[in-house]
Amino acid sequence: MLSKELVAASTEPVILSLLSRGESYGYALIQEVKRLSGDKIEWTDGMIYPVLHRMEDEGWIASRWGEAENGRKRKYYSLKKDGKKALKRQREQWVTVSGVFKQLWKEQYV
Amino acid sequence: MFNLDQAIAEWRRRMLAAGIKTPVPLDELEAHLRDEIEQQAKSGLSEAEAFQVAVEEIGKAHPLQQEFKKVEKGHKIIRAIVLVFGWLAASCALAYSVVFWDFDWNFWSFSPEWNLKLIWAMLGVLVADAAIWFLAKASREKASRAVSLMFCVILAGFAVVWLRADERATGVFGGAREVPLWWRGWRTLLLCVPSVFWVWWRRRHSAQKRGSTRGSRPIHLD
Repeated sequence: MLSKELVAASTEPVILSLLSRGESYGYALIQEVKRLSGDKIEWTDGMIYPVLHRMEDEGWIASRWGEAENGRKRKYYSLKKDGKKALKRQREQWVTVSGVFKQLWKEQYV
Repeated sequence: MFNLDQAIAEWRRRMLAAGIKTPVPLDELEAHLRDEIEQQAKSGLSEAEAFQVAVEEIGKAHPLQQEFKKVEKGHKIIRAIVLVFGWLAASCALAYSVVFWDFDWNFWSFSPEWNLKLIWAMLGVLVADAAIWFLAKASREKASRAVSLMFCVILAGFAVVWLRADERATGVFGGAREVPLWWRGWRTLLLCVPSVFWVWWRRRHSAQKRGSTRGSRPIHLD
């Protein structure tokens, strides 16, 4: 299981990355993160929504109410131009951190 | 006999009581709850068990409400209004203190001396500048940022005009002697301080936004 701090720091870039694949909604985003992380990243389900709303406020993502296959209404989120820029910035930072670890741990033969 | 719709209606009441707003975000949370119930039921749980698991997964009402409160538009509007009035008050206080200071020294002639009025004027400048520092720090959203810029420009314009005016006149308030440049410059600097604070905090905010992994604004995990 990942630490709370790391999960918190990665929430926005993870959401941005998932939405860069296409429109999605809160529940599906959570399920996708669980699947991709092998259940190692766990979000308190409801807490994704304040984050999504904040990102919408920032102008990174847009939302619309639509109808699901089962006829229920559902709120879909999609990435905006500013969101793509934010993702690019955040990606560069995470790649840098990841690159540092790769080199360090390679050198130490861990 | 368990009734899902009734249980969800009860859950909605609890959420509303905790301050979660409707239709947004409560409807969105309900859609999520129903998706989770459906998923849990597919994995073999009874409707009642699935509902229980889904409610636990979605999280407690109070911490959720606290997180939503931070991004609520109404809350933001009130914040922006408070900031706008704060800027108005602090700018007026600064301008008044500087004028008061000038008035005390230059009304009839340039004869600076330490007195109670001068101390009040200096205190006014200090308090107004301190307030402006915090206001500039807090003015992050568009409305208060735009209004604060307007106040900064007005004060800076006032400062520049005032600097020039003294060259022609013999003191702003018709003093008998010419006001020295160091005094005029000092007065101008004081009135430009808000602009300096504004630019400083804009740069800081922009840098934070550029480099935002934003881990300091977490998705709370219970």
